[in-house]
Amino acid sequence: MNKGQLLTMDYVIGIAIFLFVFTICLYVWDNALYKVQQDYLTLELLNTARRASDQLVRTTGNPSSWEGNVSSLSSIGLAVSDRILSQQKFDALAGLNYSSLRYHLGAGSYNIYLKISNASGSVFGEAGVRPAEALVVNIRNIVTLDNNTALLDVSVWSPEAGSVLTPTS
Amino acid sequence: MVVVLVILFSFVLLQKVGKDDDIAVWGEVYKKAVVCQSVANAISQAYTAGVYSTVNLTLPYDYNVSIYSPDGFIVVGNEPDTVSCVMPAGLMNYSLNFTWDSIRLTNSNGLVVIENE
Repeated sequence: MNKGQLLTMDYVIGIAIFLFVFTICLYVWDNALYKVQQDYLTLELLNTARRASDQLVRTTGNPSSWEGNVSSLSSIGLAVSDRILSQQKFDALAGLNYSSLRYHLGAGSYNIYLKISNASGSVFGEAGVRPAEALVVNIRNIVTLDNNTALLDVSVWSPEAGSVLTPTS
Repeated sequence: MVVVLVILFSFVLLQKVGKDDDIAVWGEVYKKAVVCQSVANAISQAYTAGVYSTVNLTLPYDYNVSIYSPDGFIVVGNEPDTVSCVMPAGLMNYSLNFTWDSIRLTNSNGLVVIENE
């Protein structure tokens, strides 16, 4: 092996090591960015679902008999008392248009879906848009509906999951 | 060979600066979102807890926070770099601004009041 060949070999090995390290750096950078974006989205979805869920199962809404006059609705709630829900209120909620439902539940730009059912899977009511292929956060509450135990599922979801997000700032 | 190395080095620097900027922007967005969600959660908590309840909240980062009623719209940061979030509508009866890192939310007769501590 002469001097020229040695130099070429060193050069090729050096470039190969450099490209290897650089590829790892790119991967780490992209991964960090993706993780921040996913954490952000999860934070928003989880907190939105918790607030909506708490308000539905713990408050009567304002006015407390809003289901009789939906146009008077100021803040929404399904409870007669803590975790005891009214089917009439849920039916009135299901009758709201989707943008109004999102507004009253504070869903913002995210989608929301509500379902009330029993443990054996019988559905007593649904509202909103059923989650599509997306990042979904679901909060389940055990409640009482017409003297029976029921499950209220509040799902908040974003179709943006998996794609590159755009900062809101 | 030197030319190739210079080109590679420039490419690495460009990539690094670009990625650093992206991560910094998203890090800032995330911190503001944490503040926004903390405020929204605290107001929601004060509302659901009912009359005469009190919720104490310490904000983890120091940003200006504005709350707009009746939509429950919260804006964190200064223009143009703001992050917003919403809480369920109708929880508050007025709009306000605050910059304190520690606040106290009091629910009195159905109103959520924010006080400086």
